[in-house]
Amino acid sequence: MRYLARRALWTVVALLGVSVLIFLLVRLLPGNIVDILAGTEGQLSREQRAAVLREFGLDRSVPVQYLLWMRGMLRGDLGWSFRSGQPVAELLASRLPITIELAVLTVLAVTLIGIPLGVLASVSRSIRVKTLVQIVGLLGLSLPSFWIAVLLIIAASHLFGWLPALIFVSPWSDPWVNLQQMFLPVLSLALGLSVVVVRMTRSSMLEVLGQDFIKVARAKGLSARAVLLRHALRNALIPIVTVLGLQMGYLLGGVVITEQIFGLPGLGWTLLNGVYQRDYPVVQATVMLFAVTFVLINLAVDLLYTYLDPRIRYE
Amino acid sequence: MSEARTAPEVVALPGVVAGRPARRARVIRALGRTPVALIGAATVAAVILVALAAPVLAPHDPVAQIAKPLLPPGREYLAGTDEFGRDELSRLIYGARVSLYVGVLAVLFALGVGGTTGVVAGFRGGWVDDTAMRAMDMLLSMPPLVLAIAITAVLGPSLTNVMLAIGIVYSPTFARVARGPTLAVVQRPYIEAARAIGAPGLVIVLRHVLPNVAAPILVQATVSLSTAILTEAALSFLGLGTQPPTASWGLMLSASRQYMLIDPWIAVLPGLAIAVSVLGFNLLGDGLRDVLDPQMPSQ
Amino acid sequence: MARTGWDRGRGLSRRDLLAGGLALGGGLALGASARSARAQAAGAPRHGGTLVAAAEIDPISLDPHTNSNFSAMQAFDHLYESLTMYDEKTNVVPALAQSWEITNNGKTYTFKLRPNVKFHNGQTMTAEDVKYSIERVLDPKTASPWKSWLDAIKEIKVLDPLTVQMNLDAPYPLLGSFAGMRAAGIIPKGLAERENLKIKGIGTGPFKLVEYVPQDRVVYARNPDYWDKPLPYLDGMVFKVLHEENARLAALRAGQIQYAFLSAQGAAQLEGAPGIGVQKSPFAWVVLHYINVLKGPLADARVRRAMRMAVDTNEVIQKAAFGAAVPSGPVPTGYGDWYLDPKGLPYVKADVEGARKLLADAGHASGFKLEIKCSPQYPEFVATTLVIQESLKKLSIDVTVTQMEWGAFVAENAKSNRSCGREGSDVYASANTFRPDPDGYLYPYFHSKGDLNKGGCDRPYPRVDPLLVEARQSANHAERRRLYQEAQRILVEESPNWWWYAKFNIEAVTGKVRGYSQSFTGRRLFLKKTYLA
Repeated sequence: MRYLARRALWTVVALLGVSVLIFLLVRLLPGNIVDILAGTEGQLSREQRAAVLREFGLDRSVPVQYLLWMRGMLRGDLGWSFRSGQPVAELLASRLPITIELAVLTVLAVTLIGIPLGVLASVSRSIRVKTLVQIVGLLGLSLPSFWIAVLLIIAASHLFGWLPALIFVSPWSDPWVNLQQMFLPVLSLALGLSVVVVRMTRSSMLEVLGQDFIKVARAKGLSARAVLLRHALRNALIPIVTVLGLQMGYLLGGVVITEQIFGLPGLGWTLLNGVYQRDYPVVQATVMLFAVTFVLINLAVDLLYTYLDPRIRYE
Repeated sequence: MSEARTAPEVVALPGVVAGRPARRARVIRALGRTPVALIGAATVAAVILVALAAPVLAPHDPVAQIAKPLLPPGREYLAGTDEFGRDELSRLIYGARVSLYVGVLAVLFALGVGGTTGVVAGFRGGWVDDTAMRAMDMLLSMPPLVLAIAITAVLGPSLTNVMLAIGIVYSPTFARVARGPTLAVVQRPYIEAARAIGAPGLVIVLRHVLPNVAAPILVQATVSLSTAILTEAALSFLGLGTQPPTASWGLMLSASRQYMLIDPWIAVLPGLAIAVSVLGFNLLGDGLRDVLDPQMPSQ
Repeated sequence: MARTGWDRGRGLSRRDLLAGGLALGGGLALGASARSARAQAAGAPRHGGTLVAAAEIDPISLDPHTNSNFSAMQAFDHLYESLTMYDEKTNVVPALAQSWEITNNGKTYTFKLRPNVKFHNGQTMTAEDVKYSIERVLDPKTASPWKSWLDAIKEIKVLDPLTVQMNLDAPYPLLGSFAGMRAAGIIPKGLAERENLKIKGIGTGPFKLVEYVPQDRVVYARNPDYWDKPLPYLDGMVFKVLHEENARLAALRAGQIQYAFLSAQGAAQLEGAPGIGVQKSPFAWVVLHYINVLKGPLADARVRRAMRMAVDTNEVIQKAAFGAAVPSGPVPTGYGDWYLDPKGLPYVKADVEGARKLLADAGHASGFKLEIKCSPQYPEFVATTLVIQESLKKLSIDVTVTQMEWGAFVAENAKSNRSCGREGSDVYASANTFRPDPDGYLYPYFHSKGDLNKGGCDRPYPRVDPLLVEARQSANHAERRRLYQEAQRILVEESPNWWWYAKFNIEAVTGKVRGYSQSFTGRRLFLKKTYLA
């Protein structure tokens, strides 16, 4: 329990560290909102530039800006986007559901594709099947996901003359259209990710199947399927779940390029645009959101480690 | 990165293999018997060979605009020409260099920085462990691609900075991979005993920790190498990776998007090159993992 | 003059594009105008329907006064109007102003406003709104990047609810075409203080704003009180932001969108697709390179000229614009009769020998190093730069191409200007968009007192200065034309920039869409006349 308390403390420190890191990093980017506003054809006089800086609070010293931002954050005020003037909290709240849905659906797809294939690869006697699953599976991992995405789009429209409606529809208002819209993006991501799960399932199953308690179960006369599913898979699941958790974490981090290609207004694209537009409040708030997510997931994974291997103790 | 493929590549089962010459020989022999690992090794070797021998292999200067654009494969230009009239084959060959360059250096950086951090954290434990891992957590909190873009934007556009950015982003993964086995080893009774007698930490690390860490790190390295190639492609997609006119598969792939139906060759060939290389590294990593892990700990 | 080409269902073959690009400006698309007239004769406009379209880039903000990005203008163009507007031939025609007088040697403009024009909120537009809108642009606190375009206005007087008078201290031709001003939208008095104009808008335009979701979509609805009855015909429009061109092409094929802006390559990929028509015509998008004329060898006009001579313009057009462009001088080819005839432009064909000789004369026979900066935000500029890099090898000039992320690029460009070219790089790849008057392409950059005299920092082009000043003060079109032609010829010789080409505006509409014409300005001005069959 002392361990948990220390972890909690360190988590707060880590989050503070992230806040400082992103605050400084974004200000290190060459150029700021003033330059973006002027563009290459327009022009801002010194007076105008000063006005802009004042409006966005950028005329104050960096530490003061940081403190003001922190104070706002603690009060739940995430600031206003430099570019759209919208409250950042509102912006993130509208983007988060899309990213969450994409992440959840992808992990679901990955589970449904990856685990059965991995189990198959682990128990199959045929070397050919095993090698084939490995190689075919790995092809999905070997192509950049943006490439897969573009190929899918072209295939869909050329071969099937189909593309879903472009304006994003939430699953609550029209689940069928929403599913169609999510289909291609999820597929392009799941193809690569499921391969990892296939491999993890396979190696984990292999390890579990080699253990004594499986031999005992077989000796007891349980059917092969019962042995496989009830005993082996259940025990093998733990590392698989770890990987799925990590994948979920990364998907929640926003899959930037996929969002851009499919025109999904998710968090990743919001963040990247914020970087391009030097929209400090958006970048800072989004990264903090990600940081909280990641830290929580990491905590869970680390605790899972102790559960996994009792030899690892934290003092 | 190519989106979410970075961290899920972490080896979740820290296998413990004590390193002894006899065992190493056995490992290599076992490797030789696995078809998957062989295919992987052969592919990797081929890619390395192509990269090293590029100036000799490539029929033309990869950045010279010498011919008509978008020619299909023909006698003079075996793979055709790209949208600028550059020889596609030469660009594919030289592209191996960039991919390997980016991959190897980025992974070496991540291995060095991240791996060391992980070992130190696992070995020292306590607040050192906490600080180090929280620092790694901080890096992990930012979506890797965006972090790489931000670093590249801050440092300036160059291939070296791209590698640095990718290396920084990959470091936490290696830290994690190194820390697990280190923790397991460090808590062994004989290690505690050795420390009690006062054996210097460095010796313990070198003698006992490193051999146990080597295997998962090696596997992770091959995997990260493959991901680095994909990451470079993603960065080039956004125009922030390789600088034109340098030939890199990622850049070629990205530029070919506009021509996919006009000239499929320049769209397919770089993709194939990436796929084959990444596949090779992954198969090699797979084979290594099969052979090295899981293993029962030996006394 | 804007020319439109209507290729129903055939798309564009690559040969068409290459031929179009290689055929020098003069005989452009005369046949296409005739075709267009015939095509549009079929069917009378009817009201109704929603146009679903794809925008290639996010507008970022809909504020009509504070944005420098062209995509913003394309988006708020449907909401706001100005005192004048353009017709299909890029002539200035009355809009919110019914008539206007220019008196006092070009220093006083008096606009008589159209009565009973309603804003989207029901309010009636008066001279007070006009005064408010323009003063907002002039207010330094607004930080409008286009303030310098309107700076000539020293005083705005409301003479009566429908008459506005503007007093300048010197003649300023751009004001005659308010329509082309980037920050000329008229908004209701006090609106900016009440609303966040970045995502909300109230104007007099043919369409009202239903919603703007940044990075995602802009939704418009018909303005039933629009003054120019019976326009608009469409009930509404939805513009979805889709960066990836393959996605736009796929959406067109699948019928999910009815309009998209395309690159030449995109149009070529669409070839043969049934039911999709591609329009193309040159527009005011002059691709160029800004040269820092204070740096080293670049200070010598012979060096700059020699470098320009070594590059084949048609090669640039083929590789950067996929053939869909025409060579251009400083004023884009196709703009009224102001532009230099592309057939007469020097340096269209490469002359490497001549270039070498010129370079040697300037004392740089052994070449030198040069850095050209560009941004992947505009792959077209990167492509032009790569062709230049390759060509300059023949002069032993070693070019480093540096691609910078857009924000970094803009920041450095600005720094270079502010420091009079001392900081910053040698050459920058960029483009000029539409200016309402040829003066806009020349005066700010090349007059010694110009605001955007980049890299030259008030460095005079003595032969050009008097021409530009005289052209500003003259009211005689033929005279102005002569002056601008001469100025352009001198500038092309001096080569403070390298001007390459004017690109084709390529827009695809699906079969049901009628009545859409392209505008030389590159703005989607005529969606108000578009209807669905």
